[in-house]
Amino acid sequence: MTQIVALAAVLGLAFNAASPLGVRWNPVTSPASAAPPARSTPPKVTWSQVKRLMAGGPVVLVDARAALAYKAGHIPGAVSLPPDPKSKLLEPFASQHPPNTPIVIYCASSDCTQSDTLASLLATRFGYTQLLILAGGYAEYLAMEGKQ
Amino acid sequence: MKSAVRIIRFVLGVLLLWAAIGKLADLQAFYVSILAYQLPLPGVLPKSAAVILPWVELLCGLLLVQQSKWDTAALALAGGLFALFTLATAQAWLRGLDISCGCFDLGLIGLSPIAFLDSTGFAFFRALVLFNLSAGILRWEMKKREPNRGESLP
Repeated sequence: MTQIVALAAVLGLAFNAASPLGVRWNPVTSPASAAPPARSTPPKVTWSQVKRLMAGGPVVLVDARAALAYKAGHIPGAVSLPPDPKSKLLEPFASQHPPNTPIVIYCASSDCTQSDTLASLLATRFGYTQLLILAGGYAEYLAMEGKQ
Repeated sequence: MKSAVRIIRFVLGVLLLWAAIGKLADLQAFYVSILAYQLPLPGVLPKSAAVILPWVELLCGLLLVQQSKWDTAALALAGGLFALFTLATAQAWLRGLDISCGCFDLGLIGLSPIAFLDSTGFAFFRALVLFNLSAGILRWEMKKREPNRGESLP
């Protein structure tokens, strides 16, 4: 059994190094495009910073929570994009927004991890370079806008 | 019984090969699938799993399909993988994570994704059935060997 795992590890590492769709150990980069390397962890921002950014130019807000949570309530103008690599929503999203689009991703609160997962997916698969994460998530938006 | 066991081994092997080829076609997608399970793992572990797991599946699948002398080890390893998948999908299902399991690529057999077959709940039951099948065959083989061992004693 150990021999099978050892052989799998050797073959896996060799295949990964040769594959254009292989996992990049560090840093995370776009496989096909010549886009600059994306950050492995996007910077966290507050809702006040997001509002300032939105006042200064177009920013895409992305809701990384489950579709049901999005339907129950979301930040106005946000697009629903749960972090599923097989989601049919990813390709249309990427075709609408070029890789240098500033994108702010949020999930439920500061405790959730969907934002990080989605950021990793968008950076790895589509080469997005200007990704930000709303640190306190939807809960921060509700608290700051007095909706809670 | 023997031929039924042989058929189940073959089917498990084919399923493992199918799962492996789908993952090897896009390792990055499989890596993000692992991240989507939101397991509290250090950064290098999901990456290592994404690189190595598909090859463990491929090797186990080949050994089971070939019915080689290594196939009991392959079956034990496959049982371990199915147990791992059962736990991962169970926690995702219980937490209500809206993710696809990243297990089998329906595109490989010319089908477009079917939401129910790709759901976490279905993935959990499938992994549970596959785990029970591999564990059942292993148990049957152990029992089959026990009397032989006894006979060889002086």
